[in-house]
Amino acid sequence: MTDPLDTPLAEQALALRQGALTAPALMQAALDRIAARDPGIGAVAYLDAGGAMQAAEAAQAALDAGEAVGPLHGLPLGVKDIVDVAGQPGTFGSASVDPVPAARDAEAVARLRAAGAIPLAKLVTYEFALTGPAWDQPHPPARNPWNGAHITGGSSSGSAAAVAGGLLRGAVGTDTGGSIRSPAAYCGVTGLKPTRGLVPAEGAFPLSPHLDCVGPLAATPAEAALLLEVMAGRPVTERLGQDPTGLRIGYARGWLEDAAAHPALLPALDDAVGLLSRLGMPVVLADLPPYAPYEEAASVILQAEALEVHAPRLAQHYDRYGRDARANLISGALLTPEDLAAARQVAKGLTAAMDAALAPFDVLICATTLGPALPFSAFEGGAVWTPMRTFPFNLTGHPAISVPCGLAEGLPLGLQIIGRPGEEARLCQIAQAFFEASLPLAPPLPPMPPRGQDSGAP
Amino acid sequence: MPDPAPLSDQDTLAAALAELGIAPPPAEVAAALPAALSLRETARRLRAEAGDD
Repeated sequence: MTDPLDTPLAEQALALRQGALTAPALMQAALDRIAARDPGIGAVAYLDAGGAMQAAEAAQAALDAGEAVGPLHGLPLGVKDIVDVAGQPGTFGSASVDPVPAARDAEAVARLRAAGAIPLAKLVTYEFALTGPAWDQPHPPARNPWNGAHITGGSSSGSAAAVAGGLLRGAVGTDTGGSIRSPAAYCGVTGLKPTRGLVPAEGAFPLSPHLDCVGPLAATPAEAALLLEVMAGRPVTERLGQDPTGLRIGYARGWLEDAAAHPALLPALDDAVGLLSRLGMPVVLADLPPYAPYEEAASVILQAEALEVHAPRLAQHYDRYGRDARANLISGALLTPEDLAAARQVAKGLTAAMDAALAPFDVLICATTLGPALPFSAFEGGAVWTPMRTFPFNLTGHPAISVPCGLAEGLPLGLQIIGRPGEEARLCQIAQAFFEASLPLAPPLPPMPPRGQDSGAP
Repeated sequence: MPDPAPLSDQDTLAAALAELGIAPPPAEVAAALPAALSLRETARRLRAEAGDD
């Protein structure tokens, strides 16, 4: 019998409603997975096993009583450790924080909970969603389930690792420069950065309010769509399963012809183009504006806003921040309010240019990152810039999804699909069709013990 | 009175941080300086592009 955690969220929800599965059994399966695999992954920052099981029992009681339930009723989820979950302590990945239980849920979490989801765990993040893996934080960096010697990417590092490791089917992340999409790509899962402002950011610790987005990571695009539908409170799943024939795709190949790109990247993306074409979607080269100005304007906005956010805390707790976070934050101190205003002004022109490049197409495609996850050893001297193609869409606000797209050196690569603002349903339709037509990829994880021989799960 | 010597870039960064109440060790200010100068240079180009200068 298939472990319920290996079935999509919609199937889990259906099995619960039909009585083929109980909410406590599903929760126990998640707890068993975490107990068996997380010691080798390190995705979980805080586990609310008792509270989650109580919630699962209450969810089951509601089902048994025939009450109307939401689309995520009884489903365990994880939440990045910079997003508040009522009653669960948050470290924000920083030793500068004295963790106390959050008084209330972040708005996105509240919506998931109202739809029946059960927040089971806070998931490891890079410190305040800044920089990269570091060892002077409350939790060591999560390890990539495909190869534990490699990073997960970040900053939604635990969210991506938990889904890739099969601990959970879905998780909440945040994305300011690629922090949902790049770990999703590095870990071989789906990451969806919604249109700017679609999901309220209230209750997520800000990094750069102009660029921050809250969104889902999930095992499949269809599951990401289901989670975003709840988080955004608007339809996202409506196009899943519809024939994508005739949708027009622009291929931003020029953005990948970069010396930093892994040699396996372009062949993998070209293969993806072939697959999308065979699915009936004509793909032609798209003439995108130059990449560098997007990254430059976004960097100025991020660094100026991040220092503004952190300055009061940094003044009080400087020595308790990690080395890389300190270095990152103070590098923005020469920027002026006029610099920030100018960067935002330039961003408007760059957004208009991206809209014009997208106009002939339904979506654009590009790689998510320019290579697979680096080994931890690359970070021993401090932060390392990992080249990716995600930052422009935080600047412009366009929605973008990363879906697995082949391997390089045994590690996943990601295909990024970018759409018009508000067209997440279209992105998920194409991403799911691509996902279903692709060769299945799975990390080399240890098998779970047979049911009945583990920790007493039903 | 002679004019005071101009601030070095490192002193300028330290002073900007001091205005925010942040006082890193000099070695950390020095280490952050290349990134800070690069960002400032980028910002100046953006201001020129935005018609600010």
